[in-house]
Amino acid sequence: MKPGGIDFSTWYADERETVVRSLLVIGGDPEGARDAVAEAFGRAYERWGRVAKMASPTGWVYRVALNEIRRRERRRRIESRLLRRRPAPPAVPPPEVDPDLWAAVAALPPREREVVVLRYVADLREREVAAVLGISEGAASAALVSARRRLANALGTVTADPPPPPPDPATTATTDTEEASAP
Amino acid sequence: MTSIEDRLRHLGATVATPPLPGPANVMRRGRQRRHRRRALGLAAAAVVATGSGAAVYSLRQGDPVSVRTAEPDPTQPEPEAPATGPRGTVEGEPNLRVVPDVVGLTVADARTAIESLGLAVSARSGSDAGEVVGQDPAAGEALHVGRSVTLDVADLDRPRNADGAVIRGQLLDGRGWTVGSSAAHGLCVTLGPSDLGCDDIGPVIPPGADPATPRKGADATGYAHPTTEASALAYAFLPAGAETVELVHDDGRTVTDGLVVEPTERFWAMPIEPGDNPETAVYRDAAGGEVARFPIDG
Repeated sequence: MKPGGIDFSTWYADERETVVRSLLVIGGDPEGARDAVAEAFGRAYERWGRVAKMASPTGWVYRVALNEIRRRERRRRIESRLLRRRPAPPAVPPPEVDPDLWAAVAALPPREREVVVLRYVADLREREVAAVLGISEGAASAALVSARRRLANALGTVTADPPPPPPDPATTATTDTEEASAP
Repeated sequence: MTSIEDRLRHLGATVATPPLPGPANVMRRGRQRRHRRRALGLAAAAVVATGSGAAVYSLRQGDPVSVRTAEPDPTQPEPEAPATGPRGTVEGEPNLRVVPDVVGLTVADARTAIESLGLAVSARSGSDAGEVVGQDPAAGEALHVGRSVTLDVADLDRPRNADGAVIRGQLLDGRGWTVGSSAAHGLCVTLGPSDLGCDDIGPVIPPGADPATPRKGADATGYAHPTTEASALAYAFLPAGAETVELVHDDGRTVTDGLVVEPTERFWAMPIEPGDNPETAVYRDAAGGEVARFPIDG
């Protein structure tokens, strides 16, 4: 199919690795991430005529994939409780990955983990991150600042200087006076 | 010293990924979904509406269709591999728990999830069969063992279709929706998991009105979640004698592709996307003859 000039096969082949990597870092197990990717891209193909014309077809895929993962995770949590199953221990991170960063990301609150992964692993712009998660851009920005700060504190390192948010007279100004400094 | 941002980018690049299906496989999966919908014999009308547009969905009455509910496929095997996120506890803080995301669950299921962590539940209203539409604290926040999570519960009865199934469906972006009714709200559409329910969307049928009464024009159509989302829900009530709705542009283009959801009485709904704005809703009977047509009001 080639409406709007984007070929589905090419787009899928280009995007699928980054999508599944992002889902894995956000916290999906490999099987869940793979299934979510297949489901989301399958749905995109199902309605490719419309998805291809969106400003961010990939953003749409992230949205669907995250919903799939959340749904599975919710169901799994409930079932393990109902069956009085012991919750599974956390997975050992893959050896080639920065284990301290992996643990620090895993320890973030879910919203902050999602924004920081979508922003830096999936490499979406902040506006796209907000759209994927269905939150306001302000909420996405706030979550990003908080996530970076937590990671910096956990790892004892610095964040790159993010550009300050545009001044908004309706809110109090914030300054990053609490940014951790490198030892 | 490498910045957090650079380390995150590198983290993504080094994660080992499972083998992924090839394009042909994914495309086949998408085609199968489409064929499954069409095989049910549904004339679905896909509408794309902006925040100010109204859109219409329809389904042939009597079809016991249940497509894409908000719940996972029960035939799917439980995944074996554990997730890598935190499992309800906060590292280094034995008395803190991470509040789970329970919006969209029944109160009973939410209680199970929350109480199993050693937290308490305080439900503001509704019975245990009601649906959680809001929670405080939010998912992901830390809470001391023994403290309460307060739940907002949708005090809704659930209209059911001819097969007795609760009316629910799924938006294109995966969010679930249901139809509820109450003395306070009438018949309304609620989106989950993060939306607030009837108060947020507004009543579809005012309290006390009869859902089976033929409705016209803007009263018959509407949409839920009027923001620039990737998908929203459009709904319609069919006038007497009509069995399908199709959406027509002024230049004659007809929008008929789309998803289908469970019908009840004369209420139809289906997920939509922003962008395309058909001008007219045409209601047709079983033979395809035109029963009525109304402009879709913005």
